[in-house]
Amino acid sequence: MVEILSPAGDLDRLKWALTYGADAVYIGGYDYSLRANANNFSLTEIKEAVDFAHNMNKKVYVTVNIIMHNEDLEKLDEYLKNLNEAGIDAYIVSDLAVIKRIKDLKLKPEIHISTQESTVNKEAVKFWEKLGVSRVVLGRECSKEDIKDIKENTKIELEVFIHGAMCTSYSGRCVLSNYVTKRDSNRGGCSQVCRFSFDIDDSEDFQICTKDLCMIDYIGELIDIGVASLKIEGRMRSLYYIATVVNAYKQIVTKKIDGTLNQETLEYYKKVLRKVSNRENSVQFYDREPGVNEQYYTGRQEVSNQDFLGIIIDYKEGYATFEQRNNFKVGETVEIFGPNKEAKKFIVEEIKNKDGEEVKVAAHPQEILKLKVPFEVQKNDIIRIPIS
Amino acid sequence: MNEYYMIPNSKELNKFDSNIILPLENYSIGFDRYFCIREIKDIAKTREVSIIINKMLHKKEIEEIKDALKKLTKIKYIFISDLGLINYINKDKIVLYQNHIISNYDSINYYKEIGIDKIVVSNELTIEELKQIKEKTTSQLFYFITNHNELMYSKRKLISSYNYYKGKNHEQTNKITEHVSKKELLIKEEGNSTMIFDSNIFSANEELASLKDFNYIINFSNMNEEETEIILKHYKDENLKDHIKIENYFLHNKIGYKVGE
Repeated sequence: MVEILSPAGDLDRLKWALTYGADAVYIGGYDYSLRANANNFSLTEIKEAVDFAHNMNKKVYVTVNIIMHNEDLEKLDEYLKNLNEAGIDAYIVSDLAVIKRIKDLKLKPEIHISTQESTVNKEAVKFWEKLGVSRVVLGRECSKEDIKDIKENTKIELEVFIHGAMCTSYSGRCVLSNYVTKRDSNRGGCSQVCRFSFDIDDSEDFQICTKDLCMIDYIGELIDIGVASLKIEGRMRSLYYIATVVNAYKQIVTKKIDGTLNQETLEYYKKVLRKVSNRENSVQFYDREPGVNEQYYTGRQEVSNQDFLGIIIDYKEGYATFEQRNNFKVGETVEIFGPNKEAKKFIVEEIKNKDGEEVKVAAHPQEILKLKVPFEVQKNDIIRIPIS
Repeated sequence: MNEYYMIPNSKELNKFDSNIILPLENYSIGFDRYFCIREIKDIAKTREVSIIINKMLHKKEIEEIKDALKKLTKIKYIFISDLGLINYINKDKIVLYQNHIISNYDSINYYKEIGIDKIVVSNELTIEELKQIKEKTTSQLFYFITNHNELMYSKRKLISSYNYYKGKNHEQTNKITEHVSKKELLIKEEGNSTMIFDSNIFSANEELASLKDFNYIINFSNMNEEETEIILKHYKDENLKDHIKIENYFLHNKIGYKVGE
């Protein structure tokens, strides 16, 4: 079955991603990872992550995907060996120096080629195949024809991005951040200069910023082509975002495989994904050459999302204990969804505080409250504003 | 001994007296002049010619270029960016130009182990990094010593799309200025792709002594006639800056990668 691969910026988000249906997660350590400013994982946390995932029969891939400079090579062997000992399932790499070390040291985890290499054709995949890698994460510029052609002419696993932010450039082929802000994009410091504004001639609002990627309409096709892994972008995204997006794609994949996927389901999950995203999205390169509709032209259009109302801690005798995340009150309609469960709506009739007193509003972030729920819910289910 | 290689910005090649590198039409991007197979074959009859193929090649291109390459004989080197081309070309002729990707001595040494022993080193490294790479490798190294440094390559029509949305008519080669840093960049849209360059001319000429074991590449693309003439006249001079405004930003600025560095 095709793999849903989720990002995780820390141990909490990793657990949520796996609980909500991811088959594997990709994470970064403190060093050598392209999201240098995400929380990232210590080696102890990586070991805990691996244990947690393996107990669920799931996998952990670790990004060692910076483009190495000479100084980065010094402690690389030790780090790779430590990851091996932690039991990770694969290294995600960009630099041949890392592949060489993994092979020389005879380390056990698989090697996956990062999208930073912008692999977009079958011959390039064959090049990686000869080097002994197990999987290639294809460039996000690949069209359906590119992916099909690669799959039909190569043997190794293919991983394809299906959701999240895009680079304006071919990944790895941009050092605007280095030049404009003195932060190295290929070593995890990208300052996203592509989201800045520029003057051009007499115009002061030139933009080169892309909308995000959303492949929800094409998951079925990707499965039919034989893609091994569907990757969600966003190691710096919130717990709610990860749970919602992973759950949405897991439902779609499950329904595709059991033959029950229909347009109504797709339309519903499009609404779910639209609600959780803070930016507009499009299909980008899969079925077209991107044009005017795949970019932003009016500055950063990001909206904060307050749909995430709370997390269920437990459920007894008709009452759910929950941790509040955003304001809601008695009389409002909310819904609860969870891993492998579709959302159920109800009208809030009663909220109680820790002393058992009724309150009209769940007003305080992370306050532990009780909520009367007319159906059974489980720990880690999520309360949110209904998808309409 | 090191050699100078030149990428011309004109089809009049007589003034470019060193080894020339010709951008192959339809498979290259960001240059001023492209050369079809017939032109390259003609030029190669009388001069030492290399070609450059720096596009990322998708399905149609990777299939079509196979036949195109068979027609090219008497070519010294083929500078390639897409790793897929390694399967098509005799390794002795390959110069690997994965800009921004090949940035350390270990990866260069590994490429040598698999038969690729000519490498263009990335353009954003410091002089100390370049020197160390030279010390720890035995491959033939190439370096863009004078050019408008390429900073970004996108498979998007960034100017056309903006023009369409805004109802404007900006030229497809243009200067843009980032609002906060005031850095000026050169943007160039070609076909369905766009490249962005440093609008200043980069030159490592002051460091020729340190880079004496590299092969030097001068890319005249995006330079005007006056700049071209000055560089052609003084390209071997360490004091090129006495004749033209140049910069060497990346050579002397170590780039951090975590907030606070």
